[in-house]
Amino acid sequence: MSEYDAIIVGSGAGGGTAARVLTKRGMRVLVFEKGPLRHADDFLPYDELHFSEHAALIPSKTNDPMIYVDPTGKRKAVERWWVGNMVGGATMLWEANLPRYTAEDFSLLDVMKEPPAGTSQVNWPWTYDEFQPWFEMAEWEWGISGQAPLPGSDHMQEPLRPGYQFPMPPLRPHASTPFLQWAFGRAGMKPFPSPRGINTRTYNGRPACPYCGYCQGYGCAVNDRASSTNTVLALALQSGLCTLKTGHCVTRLLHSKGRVEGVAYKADPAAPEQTIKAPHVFVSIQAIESARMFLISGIPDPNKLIGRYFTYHTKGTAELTFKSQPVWDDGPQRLFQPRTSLGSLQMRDLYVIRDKKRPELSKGGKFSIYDPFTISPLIKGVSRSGGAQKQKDLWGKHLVDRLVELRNQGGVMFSFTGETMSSYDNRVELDDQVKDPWGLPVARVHYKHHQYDIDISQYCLTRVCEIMADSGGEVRKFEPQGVANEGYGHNHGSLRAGADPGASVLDANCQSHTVKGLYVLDSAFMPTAGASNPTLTQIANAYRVCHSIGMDRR
Amino acid sequence: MTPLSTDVHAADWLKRPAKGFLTETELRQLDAVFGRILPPDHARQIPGAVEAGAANFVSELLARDAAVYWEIPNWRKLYRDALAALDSYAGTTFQKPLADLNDQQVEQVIAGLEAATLAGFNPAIDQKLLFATLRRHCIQGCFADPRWGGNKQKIMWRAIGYLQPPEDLYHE
Repeated sequence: MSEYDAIIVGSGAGGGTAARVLTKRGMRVLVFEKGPLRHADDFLPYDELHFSEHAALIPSKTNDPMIYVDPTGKRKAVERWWVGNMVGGATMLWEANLPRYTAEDFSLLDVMKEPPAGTSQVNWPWTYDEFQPWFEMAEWEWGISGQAPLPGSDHMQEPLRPGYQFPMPPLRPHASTPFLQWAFGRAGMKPFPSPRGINTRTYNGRPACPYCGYCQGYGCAVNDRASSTNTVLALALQSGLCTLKTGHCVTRLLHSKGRVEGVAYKADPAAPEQTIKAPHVFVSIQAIESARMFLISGIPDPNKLIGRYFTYHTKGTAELTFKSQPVWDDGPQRLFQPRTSLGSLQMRDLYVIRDKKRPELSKGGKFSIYDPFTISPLIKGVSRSGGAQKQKDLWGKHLVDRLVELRNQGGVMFSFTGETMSSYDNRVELDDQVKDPWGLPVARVHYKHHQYDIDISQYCLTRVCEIMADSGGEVRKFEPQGVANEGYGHNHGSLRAGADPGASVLDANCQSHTVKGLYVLDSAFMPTAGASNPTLTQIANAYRVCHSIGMDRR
Repeated sequence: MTPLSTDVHAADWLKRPAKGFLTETELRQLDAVFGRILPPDHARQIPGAVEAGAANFVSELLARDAAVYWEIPNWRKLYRDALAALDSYAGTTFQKPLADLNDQQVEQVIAGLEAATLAGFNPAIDQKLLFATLRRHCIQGCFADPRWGGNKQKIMWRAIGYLQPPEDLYHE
């Protein structure tokens, strides 16, 4: 008899949620986390150079990189800014932008009647309605602030159950919000406050956000931003049924005759490998890493699907400045407006494209709308900005001109998260040259964006820039998706879930088709990329799966 | 329950080095370059990189060890070699040391690095990478927290209005 009912690999969004649900159901769980436990005060003093520019909280490119193979076949070691090796994983460093995927993401083919040739676009084996209760559970246990659309509104927002409300009101709006809602309103569009895993009032014993501006890429020193550590994992540990081993790296998944047996692990990179058994193993270490773990562990793969149909989101960035708008201010008395971009808007009005001039475009994507001046501390904003006469890498007079604009004029920045074509050739493999500090081969990702991705990014960015230009905006940066992608925070699809074992790695309950008892709870299960920030949907899926263990749901 | 392990860093990155890495000559050379990457425009209330002490930021950064950031040892070599190469290029092209070039001449050198078109420049140095590194460090030296040795008296934050309203630094 094993001491544990389940082993959970990874303590982030999926792993923490699994620990919470399984302990609530009375199971004894062991959570492996290869990183350390970090406390809020480990993230002080706030410092952009140390935490962001010097990448202090993510794996080093020098000894723990990922290999990217670009469309020309060239290899490159890249830094994985989307990985947080610590208790809570990347939820310790995220911006906690947590919209739900919508019906258009779950049932893509209803929107995209004729997917482009050479792609593998599919409907998910679940509907939005089936996920609805799990979304609500995720939003209340993780603590989401947001604003449900008014009843009867045609808002392109997540369709919430009538009468439903988020546990907290939305973040205070950024000072640009009234202008942007007016400008987009003239074009029939309705940006809305983003659902965020950031407290706007005291909730579950954690304080409200003070709008410090050190958010994405930084640890939250106030503990107002939700993470696995301060929400679900804390509840699991309080149950007394959860053991957390930090600094322990799972090196292999153990299985025999189509049944999971446990894991092999090391307590230190130099320590000998040990094993521990359990009847259930849940892997949630982000899509690239879970595919890598499946490959390292020799999970039977009769149809050569492990690591395939991997997706990064299609992205794109545009920045504009407004001569007619003074720099977004804190209000006449500097009393009430957040100084940071956190109180930002989302826009889903280009989620579905119906344009007679562009019949080949159907599924679009979501915009996150920021202030280019206050999206982060200054180094990032200034160094990435573009100018009136020079598009990027500003210096000299161009840089001075842009600094004057940033100081004097209101601006806006759009970050696009778009539908992405799934392709068999976009894949995660084991590298045959580079090993990580634990002696395991690192992941090698081959990735090339489809022309559709490039076109949809260009199209949607152009639309918002035109709308902004109608209200006096001048473009300062315009960077649609290109063909190459050397790494991005949203990664999914490498272990697709589906009903057909011939076309998927996981079943509809995210259990391996070939190794029973082995589950994957990160975004690797997603059959297609969807077009919003993925983690809330990933968390909802973890609630769904972990409540269903032992039941034959489908 | 298993005790939680922690790795409490002794915040080594917060300790400022007693002495910078660059020589007085190198600091003057770097001032010449940084002075044109972010030139002052007092009429529009923008301080320059020289006023902000961006070269001193680099000097202090290079005096820290690889535990603070892995690229620091590479940068030590890059700056030593690159400033010598730029000085030598200035001598050959303008018959003057780098630190004595006029504004237009320095801008010509920076534009040449950006386009990787400086003829006769030390072939061991990637000109585009050098441009990107100089530009990045110049902006960091201007806008990073003053604890890193640049952004003297928060001059850039005060000018641009970060954490506080913009100040009138150069009123007539």
